[in-house]
This record gives sequence, structure tokens and C-alpha cells, in this order.
Amino acid sequence: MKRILSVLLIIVMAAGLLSACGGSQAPSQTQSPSAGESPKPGYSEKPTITIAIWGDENRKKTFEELFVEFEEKNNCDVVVNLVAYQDYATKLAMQLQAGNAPDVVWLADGMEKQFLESGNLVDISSYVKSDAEFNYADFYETAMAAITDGDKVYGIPFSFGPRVVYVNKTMFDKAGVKQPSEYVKEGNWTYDVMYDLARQITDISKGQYGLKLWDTSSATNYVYAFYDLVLAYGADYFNQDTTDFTLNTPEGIKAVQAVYDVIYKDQSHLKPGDATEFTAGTIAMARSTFSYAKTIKGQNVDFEWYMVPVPTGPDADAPVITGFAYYSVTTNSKNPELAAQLVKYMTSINMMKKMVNTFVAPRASLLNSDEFLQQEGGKPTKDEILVSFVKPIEERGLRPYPAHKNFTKIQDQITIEFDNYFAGVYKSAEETVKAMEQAVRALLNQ
Amino acid sequence: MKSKSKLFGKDQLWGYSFISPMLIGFIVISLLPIIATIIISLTNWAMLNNQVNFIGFENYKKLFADPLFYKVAKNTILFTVLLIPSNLVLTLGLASLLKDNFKGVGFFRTAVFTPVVTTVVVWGILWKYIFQTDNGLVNTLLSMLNIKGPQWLYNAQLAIPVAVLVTLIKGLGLNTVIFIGAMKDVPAMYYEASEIDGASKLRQFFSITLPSIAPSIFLVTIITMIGSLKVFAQIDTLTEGGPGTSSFVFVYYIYQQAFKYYNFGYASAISAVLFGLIMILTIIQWKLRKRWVYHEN
Repeated sequence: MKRILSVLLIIVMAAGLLSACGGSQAPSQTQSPSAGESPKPGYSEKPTITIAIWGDENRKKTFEELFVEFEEKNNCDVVVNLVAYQDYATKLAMQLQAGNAPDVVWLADGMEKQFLESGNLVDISSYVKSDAEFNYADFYETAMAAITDGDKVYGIPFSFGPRVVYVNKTMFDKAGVKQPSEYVKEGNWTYDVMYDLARQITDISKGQYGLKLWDTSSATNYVYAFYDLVLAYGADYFNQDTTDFTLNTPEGIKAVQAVYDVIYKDQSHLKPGDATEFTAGTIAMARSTFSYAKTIKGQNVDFEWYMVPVPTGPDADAPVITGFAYYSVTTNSKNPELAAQLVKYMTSINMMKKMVNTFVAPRASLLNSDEFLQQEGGKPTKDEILVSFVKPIEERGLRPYPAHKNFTKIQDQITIEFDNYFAGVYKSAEETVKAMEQAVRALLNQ
Repeated sequence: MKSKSKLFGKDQLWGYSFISPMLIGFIVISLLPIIATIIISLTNWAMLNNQVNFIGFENYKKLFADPLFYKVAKNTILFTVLLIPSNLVLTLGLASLLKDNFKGVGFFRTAVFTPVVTTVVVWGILWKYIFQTDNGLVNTLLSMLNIKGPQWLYNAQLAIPVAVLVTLIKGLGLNTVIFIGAMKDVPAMYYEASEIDGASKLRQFFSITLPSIAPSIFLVTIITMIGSLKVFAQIDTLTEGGPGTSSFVFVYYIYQQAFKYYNFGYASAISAVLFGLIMILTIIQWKLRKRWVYHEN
């Protein structure tokens, strides 16, 4: 009896251990180990398309509702996988290796070049270029540059993020300081004016800050965070084909110095690591994306606010720099045609108009449409949107973030050198920029 | 004689059967991945493409020629050197205070042990807010005393010590419990005899308690050392390796190379070096135990 019980115990322990080992799954099955997924119950004979997005549960719910029409029209199921943004690229890379990547993915901020060059994306040009109603030509050429290769198209952009500045009007009124909007009307809204206003408003004893140029709560990509400032000062991180680091100029050093001074000399900017949000009501001016307006409205803040453009610098004609986010179809897809149709559906002009409060698509016809200019709740106002967002793009043009096969390493290296400056390891902007130049040139030539 | 060897054979079979689940688990979950890591470290496998080429020891040559590797090693060793003695001193002290059953001892033991059961990521995020430069709790309290606090997590010299402090507070409870158990096992007659001889409490602690619990001290030292050489979550939540590379440690470097840059071959080489380092340090400690562990039951 003891022996029988012992054998049974061994079998149970072994079974428990081995049951943790799982097999691989076909990409189009509804089951997936990813968190935040909503698999449909049971096995369906309808084809299934999986799409991975980043965001929160509210966004996932919104997208599931938007997919209903596509599912009915194409007699298929669409499964949404929610992935945290900071894990997205890594998870996608691992899924592609394992052969179970979603059919449709989002790509942004440098991811697109890596995945395109590694041959993991499907050419969808035959689906998007031939459809007159889709109007492929409506997309800004700049937006398509990173995701096309000759005539081949590996993705369609659904969002882009030129920055704007949100102003806490109540703080300015209470302090008796002239509003930034008045400087915008006068045509005199510059970085020097912004720094001066920030100094006037800041009162650290009350936890009040004049300025927040980037998200200080976590380690930041300082290349993107400061790019429009660098261009406004007449400098640039790289040359046109991203083969050389070019920030080591008097203008570039001045731009880096300006960032340091506003944080440590004027003390009017949040310190790195500070997690205070504009919505807390203690920051007078915050630079952020257009879609941040939705966050402010969603939090029912108890202060008045409005939007102004990012200020200009010594180079008043510097282009508006931005990243783009794309829908792409992966080579793991067992239904690339249906996946491409989903991409077309989500990036059609009608869908982009529906999504305009969440994403601003780089479609020329969208930016001047009523749907975009008349936002929910009337905030930001049509004038604010035209002056802060549409006019800078139309007058100065768009420029995408640069791309390079080592761009992740390059970004990290630039961030490390900025960190060293802010932490006191480097004593001057010149020293900082020189260190960047040495490190980045080595990576550009790898 | 024949029947005795048969019996011996049956015992062996049963023994192997009982340890087989653990053995299979160890082989599948630990040993095979270690072997796979060493093999991958000899290749140039980058996750995004499917090309895997054998390149010999090129990854190791690149690693030992990389200045960042030495910075990472220095940061990791600094973390370990700061953590182990402070952990031992504090936990021995706490164990001495909490080993006796006085009124309210349960509350204090619970308070000391609670951080152990808190998720390390939540713990790290909480302390990140506490150590914020302008609005963090620490600097706010210091400002009430008219002291301007430093950028705790944004200072190249303070980033590692702050991470050590956060790790120390989290891990105190577990080691304290181990020491309390060991101290309770020390026969009371030793203390009684020493009292008769006029030994003070301090003398009793150094001459009786410490030698008697030496095996537990050895165990705690090894566990703490291995844990500190593999530290990651605290660094990732508090500083993300920054400012600059001042708090880059081995496992964070491995994570960056593997999961941000997709250099699995190179990351595997770093992992193999870390494995070797931990193995060597553990063997050294194991050999030295005969000198300073007076008795092992």
C-alpha cells in the first residue's frame, strides 16, 4: 500500500512539474498568454485577426467597439492584445522569434526601422495604393518615409505627435503675469520669453513650477524630449542622412546650456525624477502631445487652461519635428490579406475622423476638417488648434525623427550624457556635447 | 550478502524516484538554460533576425575590452560590499532585540518582516517617490529643518547607496527571522555559565552568540551576496541604471543588451561571466567556512 501511494505521489509531482510546460500556438488562435487579452469563448470557424496595441483598458474597449463593424463586414473575429508601451518592442521581437506575433501591430518611435530591416513586415502596397477611396496620397510624404522602401509600403501611419504647450491660465492670473497667449498674438512667443515667464511664476516654497518640457517621472529619451528646442536654436543632433553627429556647434551647446539653466540655474523646471503632472495644477506651462488635452479634460481639473504652440528660437523657421505611429502587418500573419484590410479600415479617413480626439493622423485632409478642429467639449478651441498645431506644420513643414539601425543605442548614449550633465558629472555643456559626439560617432559608424 | 545488496539497490531506486521531480525540474529549468546561455554566448544571435553564426569567444573579447563592463562590475561590487556588512550588523542587532518574548514583540517582528512580503517593484516605486528631489518625503522633511536635500536618485555618488538602503530595508526581516531561530537554539547554559564568570552582555554576544550561530551567518552571507550580485528590480524602478551609468549593474546591463538592443549573444556572454563570478565567490566562501564556522550540525 505504501509503495502504491509512493508511486502515485511521484507521478503527481512529476505531472505537476511537466504541466507547466506549454506548446506553441498558431498565431490566429484566440488563446494567448498575453495580459489584457479578450479571447472569444470556444473555437470559431471564422478567421481571427489579432492586433497588439499599447494603452489602457479604456482604449482597448474603444478599439473593440470600433472593430465590430469590420468583424461583421468580413465575417471574422478581431482580438485585441493590450501591451504596456515600454515592453511593446521587446515583446513583439520575442513573439516574432517564436512565430506567434500578432497579425497587426503598432510601431512607433524608431521601432519601425528595426522591424522593417529585419524583414518582419508585410508589403501592403497592393492593398492601399489601388484603393481610390482610401486616398493613399492624402498621407504626408514625411510620414511615409520611414515605413516605405521604394514602392513597397510596410505600414500606414495613424498618429503623429508634434508637441504643443499647455498653459495653466489660473496660475498666470493669480501671479499677475502676462499670459503666453498674448505673446503668441504679438508674434513674440520665443524660448527666451518662456524662460522669463517660468522664472516669474516659479515659487518652490509652494511647490509651484513654471515649466515642464518633458515627462520627468521616468528615464527619458532626451533626443526626442529636446529635439524641437535643439532645432529652434538652429542646431541639430545629426546631419541629413544620419551619418554624423552635429550637435557640437555653438548653437548646439547653447541649446544644451539652456536646458540645464532652466532646471538648475533658474530652478523653474521640475527636476529629473519628479512625477508631478500638469493636471495637478502646480505647473504653469507643460510641453506635451496634442492628445494630452484628452487627459486634461478627463481629469476635470479645477483650473483654466489653454494651448499655445511650442515657442520659436533663433531659427524661427525650424521645421516641426515629430515621430509617427504606424499600423503594420507582420510576416507571422496567416491572414495577411485580411490583416491588411484591417489596417486600411483603421486608417481610412472616416475612421481617423472618428478617432480624432485620441489620435491625430498625418492626413492632410484631416487637419483642416471640422472633426479635428472642433474637439469634444470645445477644448482646445478651434483657434488654439489652428495656431498651435496646424499653422506651424503648414508654415514650417514636418520633419520625422531620424532613423539609424543603431538608433536605440544612440538615443541611450545621448540620454546617458545628458544624465551625467544633470547629475554633475560633467561641469559644462561643452564637455557634455563633446562626450556625446565621441560616443555617438562610434555608434553611427558601426 | 546477495539479499543485502538487493535491498540496497531497491533503496537507491526509491530514493531516485523521490528526487526525480526535483531533478527533472532542475535540469529543465536551471541546468539546460545555463548550458544554452553558454552556447548562445559563442554566437552572434540578434533576436530580430534568424541568423545565428558561431563566432567563438568574440563576445567575451568585446566584453573585456568594453569600459562599461568594468564600470558595471565596479557598481555591482560596490552594491555588494555596502549591502552585506550593513545587512549583517542590522539583522544581528534586530535579532538580538527581538529574540526574547516580551510584550509587543509580535508587533515589532511583524513590522520588520512586512517589507519582505511586499512586491519588490511596488517597494521600489514607493521609495522612488520618497526620494524625489523636490517633492519627495525625505527632502520635504529636511527642508523643514532648513536643510536642502540632494538629488538622491539623480546624483552619481548617491544612486548606488540609496539603492542599497532600499534593498537593505526590504531584506532585513528575512535574515532577522533566520538569526532569531539560530539564537534561540544556543543552549542557555552557556550564558548562565558565562554570567557566573562575570561576562557582560556584549562579551556574551561576541564570545557565545556569534560563534554558535556562525553557520547561519555563513548562510545569510552567501544568500545576500548572491542576491546583491543579481540585483535588478530595485535598480530598474529607482534609477533605471542612471544617472548616466552610475547605477548600471550586471543584470541591468544584461537586460539592456538582450531586451533593448536584442544582442542575445553578447548578453549571454555577460550572463556567463556573472555566473562564473558568483560561482567563484561562493566556492571561496565555502572553502573559508571551515575557518570561521566553528561547528556544523
